[in-house]
Amino acid sequence: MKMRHRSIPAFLLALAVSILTAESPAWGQDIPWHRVMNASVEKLTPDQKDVAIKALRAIHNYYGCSRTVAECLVKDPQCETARRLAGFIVRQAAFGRSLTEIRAAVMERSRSVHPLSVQKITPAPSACTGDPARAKVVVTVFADVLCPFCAQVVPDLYKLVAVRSGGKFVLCWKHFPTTAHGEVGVKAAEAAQAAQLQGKFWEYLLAAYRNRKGLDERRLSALARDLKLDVDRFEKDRVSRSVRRMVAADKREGLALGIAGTPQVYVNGKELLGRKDEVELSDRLDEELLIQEGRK
Amino acid sequence: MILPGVTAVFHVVLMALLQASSAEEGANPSALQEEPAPLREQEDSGVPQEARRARAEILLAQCQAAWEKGDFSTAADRCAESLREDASLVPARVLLARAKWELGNREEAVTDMEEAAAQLPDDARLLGQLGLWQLELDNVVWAARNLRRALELAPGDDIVRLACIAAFLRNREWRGAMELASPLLESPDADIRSRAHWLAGMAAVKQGERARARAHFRKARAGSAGRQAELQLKSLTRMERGWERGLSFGFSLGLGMDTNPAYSQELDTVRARTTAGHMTQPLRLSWVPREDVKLEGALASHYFFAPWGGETHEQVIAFSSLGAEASLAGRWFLSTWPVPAHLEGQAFWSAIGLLGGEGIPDEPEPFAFMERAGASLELALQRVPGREAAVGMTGARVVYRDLDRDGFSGTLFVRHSWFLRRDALKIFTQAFAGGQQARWAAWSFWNAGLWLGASVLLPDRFELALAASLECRWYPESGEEAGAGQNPWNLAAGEDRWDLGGFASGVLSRPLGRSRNWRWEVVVRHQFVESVAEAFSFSRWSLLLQLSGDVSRR
Repeated sequence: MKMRHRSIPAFLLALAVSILTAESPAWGQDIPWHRVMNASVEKLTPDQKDVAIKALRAIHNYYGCSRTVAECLVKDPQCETARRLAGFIVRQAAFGRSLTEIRAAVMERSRSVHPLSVQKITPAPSACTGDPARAKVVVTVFADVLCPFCAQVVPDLYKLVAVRSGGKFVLCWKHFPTTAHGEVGVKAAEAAQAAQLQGKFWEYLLAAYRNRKGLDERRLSALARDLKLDVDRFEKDRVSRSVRRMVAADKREGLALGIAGTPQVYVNGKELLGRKDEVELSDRLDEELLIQEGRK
Repeated sequence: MILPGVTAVFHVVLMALLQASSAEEGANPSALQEEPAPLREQEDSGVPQEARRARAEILLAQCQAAWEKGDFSTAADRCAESLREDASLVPARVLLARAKWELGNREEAVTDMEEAAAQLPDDARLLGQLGLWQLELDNVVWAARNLRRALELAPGDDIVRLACIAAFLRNREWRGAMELASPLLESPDADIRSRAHWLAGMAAVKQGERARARAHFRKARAGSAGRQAELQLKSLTRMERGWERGLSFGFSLGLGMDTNPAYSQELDTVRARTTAGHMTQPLRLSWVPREDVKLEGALASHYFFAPWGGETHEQVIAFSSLGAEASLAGRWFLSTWPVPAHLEGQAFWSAIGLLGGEGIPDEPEPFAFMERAGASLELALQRVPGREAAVGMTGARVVYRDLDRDGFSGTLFVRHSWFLRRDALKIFTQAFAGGQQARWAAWSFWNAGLWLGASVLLPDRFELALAASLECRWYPESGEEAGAGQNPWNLAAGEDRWDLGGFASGVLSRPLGRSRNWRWEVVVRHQFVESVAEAFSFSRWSLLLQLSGDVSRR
């Protein structure tokens, strides 16, 4: 009986301690934060960190280690997918996303990386930054020169692929001009295609994005002159039937894929869903390489 | 609202699969239930492989026996010991996983089951079990992966297929879920068929294909998923046919010109022709506390000023009016119909008061000129997406200040609406027929008419709405009543009054700036009546510049 009496306060004390420690600042110390990739945990506010911890403990890793992300960080430190996913979750929390929103974002990411079906896209080598047949990661972007979001995403992708040397990454372009941002979109696509015939596709395209505002027929010609293209040939090409057909063929391919808006990015034929800022694009490219190289 | 439903069906499927697995567990090694302690106490080292294997088998049998008794803790211990003797003994690993699952140690149970599945990668049942557990733990990506693999190995396993569909739904792979469900939609097993239709319906809802979802849910009603299907049908119909909840307040202020303002309220009285400027101020407040109930109140003032061409200022001021309306409407959702449909009942009251006493100096100001109270009932349905039809009737009791026209009116109507080009083009038609019984029989009439309307979105956010109507009225007692005595309507002997009236209007509008709440409107309208009784004939043009606001709060 004495034992029992003595054990009750001890139990209550233990309970109180467990309740206090559950919400104490030390919460989350069991997570090896140093293994979280591409995210600054220290920049999270206490509320954001709270959401991140809950998400790391609730959301399962989708490749390699099959436990929750938090458990994978502890038990399978070699699992790079879990470390990247942890970083993604922390970044989402840093944006002030709720647990439900983070779950939805992770689901999108999972469907981007391991979709049910992969699209078969055949990029033209002349519209690529390298040889798509030899690259491990081929990024194909369907875009419009006038689309403001494309003007942000396409140069970012170009930069990200350029800094990853060794020919493992290639960026390919597909025309998907729309009239949503102005009538000159189709003309700009044809002009870029004409530049491609002179081997200066990406230079022309990036210059067009830089001068996107106020782009008109005259400016399209001026860009060709600035890039020291053979302007007479350029002018002839860009109104030619063959160039129009090339642009139309790209657009038809995009429509067949079900593309409704630009930019639409495919990484090795897998549709990229979710945020498309520089950090997420970079993370996605590296994760795809990880898969292609058989790592987890 | 929908995914919890998937979870519910998942539990049904899970229980079915677990029960099936338990039944298949088979051998009950009751003969091996003796205390295993001596075996545990033996030294591991130096024992030949065959002996260790035999010991592992015995421990497995003891594990199974404990499992059968429901002693999961002992079962877990024995199976763990068995695996220490022989790690390749897959049945021990499976049973260990199941015991851990029962003990609530679910993540570890999944890990053990993953190891078992790795040892037997082509065992559909193991993969199915693993997928179901992962689904329950919300590890939906792995669940879908394992269930899909299980289904590849055992494509005829309907239970695994159902679980796989549920996993795909949880992964938001709607199209994949639909494809997986298709072989089960014609299954001879009514239960399987019902669940498959329900899951296919859920996938269709998520893809925005509500007509297809409705068809699936209707078929799912005859089976074990019937209750969930009916709930989904109700929810779907409520969503499609219900009013949007909340408060909304509409307001507009208009200034315009009117060539014959006497008819601005369609009072059907004889007035002197004149031209006036006018100002309108309608206010409308709606409250939808639930999707099937709507309360509405409205006030409108119509003020004429600066009479041009009128005989006296007094005459014109008399046309100014105040109007009030109130209505209560309810909807009954017909969720079991093959197409979205509802019944709507409404009770309404409205009144118009005139300012200035019709030019009579002693008349109180304002005074009630007309009051109407009635009810309507309509059946509305969506024949195909983008095409609505409604049929209904309205009955009302109308009271006028001059008493002669007091009486009852009734109208039957049929309405069609087309919503084309993603609602950029809308077309409406309505045909109606009815009549009114009045205190003085000369005012009693039969009428029939047609109303047409269209609205189209133009470039740069402009919108153009056009409407026109034509109505014919026959006053069958007028010849006898009005022709007798003084014949105030100047009808020829034995002649009845016939009216042909109508209007045509156009409204050009555009939102103000980026606002969704405010818009300006230009309204041009022409109205006419050609009557056998010449005094009732008139023609009227009006032009209105209007600022409208519409504020909604959910």
